[in-house]
Amino acid sequence: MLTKNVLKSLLAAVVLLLFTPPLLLNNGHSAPLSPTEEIIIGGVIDLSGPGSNLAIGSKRCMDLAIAEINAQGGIQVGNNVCKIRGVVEDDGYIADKALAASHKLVGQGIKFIINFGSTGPAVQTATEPAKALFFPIISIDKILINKPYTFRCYPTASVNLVLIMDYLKTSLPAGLKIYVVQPDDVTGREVREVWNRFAPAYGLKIVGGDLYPPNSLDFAPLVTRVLTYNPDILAVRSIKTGASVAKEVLDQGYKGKFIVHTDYPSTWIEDVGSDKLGNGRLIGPSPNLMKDVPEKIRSLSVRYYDTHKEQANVIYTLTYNYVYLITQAIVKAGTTTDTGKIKNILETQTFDLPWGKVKFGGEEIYGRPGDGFFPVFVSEYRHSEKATRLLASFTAIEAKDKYLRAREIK
Amino acid sequence: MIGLSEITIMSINGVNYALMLMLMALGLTLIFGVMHIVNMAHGEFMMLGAYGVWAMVVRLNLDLGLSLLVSMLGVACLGVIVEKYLFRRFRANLLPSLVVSIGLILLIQTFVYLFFGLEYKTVPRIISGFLRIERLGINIPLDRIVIGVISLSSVLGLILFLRNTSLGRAIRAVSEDVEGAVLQGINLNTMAMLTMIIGSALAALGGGLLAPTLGCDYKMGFPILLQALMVVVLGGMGSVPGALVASLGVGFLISFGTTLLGSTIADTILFISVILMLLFRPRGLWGRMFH
Repeated sequence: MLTKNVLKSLLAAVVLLLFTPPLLLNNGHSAPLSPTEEIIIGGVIDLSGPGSNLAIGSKRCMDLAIAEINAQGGIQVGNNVCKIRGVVEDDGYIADKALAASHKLVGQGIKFIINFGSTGPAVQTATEPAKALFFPIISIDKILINKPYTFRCYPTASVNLVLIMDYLKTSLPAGLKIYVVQPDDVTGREVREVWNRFAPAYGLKIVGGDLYPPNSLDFAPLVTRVLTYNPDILAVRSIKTGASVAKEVLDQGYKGKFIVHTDYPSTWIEDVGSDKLGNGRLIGPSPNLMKDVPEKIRSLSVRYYDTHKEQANVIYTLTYNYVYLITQAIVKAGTTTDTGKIKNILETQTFDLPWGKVKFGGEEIYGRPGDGFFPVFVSEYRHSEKATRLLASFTAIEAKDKYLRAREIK
Repeated sequence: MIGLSEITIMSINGVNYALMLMLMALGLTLIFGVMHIVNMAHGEFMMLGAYGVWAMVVRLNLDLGLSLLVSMLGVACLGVIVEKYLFRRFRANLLPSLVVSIGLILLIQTFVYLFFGLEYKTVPRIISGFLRIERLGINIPLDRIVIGVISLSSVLGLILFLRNTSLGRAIRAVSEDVEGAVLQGINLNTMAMLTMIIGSALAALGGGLLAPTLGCDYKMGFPILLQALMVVVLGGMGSVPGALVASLGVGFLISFGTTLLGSTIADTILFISVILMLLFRPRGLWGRMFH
């Protein structure tokens, strides 16, 4: 009996230990990492979940940037030479987990946090009060409203889509019917809003839209609904579920095109089927990273492929860009800990990043604070070449100008 | 405009969805019926089935049929271990068994992501090609038909087993009246283990069949478990006929609801149905009251 009771107690203890929610372990009271000549860049990244196909590549590029900087001896901040270290937490594309992860990082005294995925708003609830500088990879505008410690340098859905719509207007027949199918998350809702807002001005007709649960099991019913509207173009997402929708809709005989608002990984093409996509049926903002982009990004793409035997894409390179942004801002500010000072530098200076020069303008320049515009590419996927073909490209300034003009159209 | 073609497609989608749910829900309801525990890790058994198929098809280049069988066998063995060393101690104790099965979820997920990594895995289609019915404007991928046939065969096989074999009758006896069954000489431990084997194998089969469509992700188990739980609640905990009818109902609701009204509204209707069932007929369509 004694043995059985002991075993039961042990089992209960093991189960409780496993079952303890992350928040209980991450209440912000963890001991801060010991101060060294080391700068820690935190990451809250969805290494698991529906966006993991893009997020894992992003983490790898973050690691590559850190390794490069350290290989060059680190960075000089005042009289100190500092090495960089990355600490990444998986949020699984879930807001609660992102919140717990960001509290953990902030509690450890980490001042610079990069986030990939739609959990940005959750992470901000920890970073802004702690005055930790936050660098999200998310499209929604509200991520920057009244968030002074947040800076974004990212090809946003709104800017990408406006330029894609601009291309469609000039290159394809008028009156194309668009159906918007997005997962029901913050980005999906934003993308749907952007389409609804801007499409009429470009002669495009939105015939319908659906937000599906991100963990949907079967897309056949949804796809059947979509096809009853007979769209010419389907706006989908470049994550796993978007590929499932595209695959299903092609199976059911869809003959039109697809548009994605962000770069798509090669796994997305494999999931859908390169042969089914054919030539010119997938339009998106994906440049050929081996030729259409600045030299530093081309070089990154080669190294990424050599290391991971997989093509990099634009989304992956954003964390790489952010690491260089953070280190340059620290060097210019001459401090690793005074985030107020670094914030001022970010707001006022120009940075020479792998993706080109960036200046984070204020409301009067970019329409919202903390935004640094990004070059935009419009391309189509070609199965015959197993690559994208550039249709149009815009520098960050051109993209900004076109977007701001589009916003003025009533 | 919804015509005959769309109605036919919606019906086919509904049947497919229902069959998938049946595989999950039958195992779950059987386990509850015999052991009076809710196995929250049932979704993870399904996930293991999916990963098993991926590993054998993609890494070892095995035939899909063989991969499914081996996967089912492997997960069934895990079910045996789980039943003997975990669930048996908490049989008919709902709360402790719930806690244990939730702990099991974390264990299995951690094992899978350590062993297989975080990236989601893609499994090739079972078979390529379509069944085209031009008159109705229908294009059904052949792999959906194969999945449907396998699912239906498994469900029918289970029903025949439960109705026509002595072991099946013994399982039904235990689920209807434990004390009476024991008095008749039926070994409860054996029935519990057999039920766990069947339930786990069905879950693994469901996962393996879903893998080409959904891919493999170590978090894929829970959303499926949630839907299976709703089916079990609607049909009645421990009731096989209830699970069958409820699966059909949910499958058609999701199919027609999503196509006609959109995913959000269809899911909302489903949740409202579950709430109403719990409020007005908590034992479900066919279930019994448990004390």
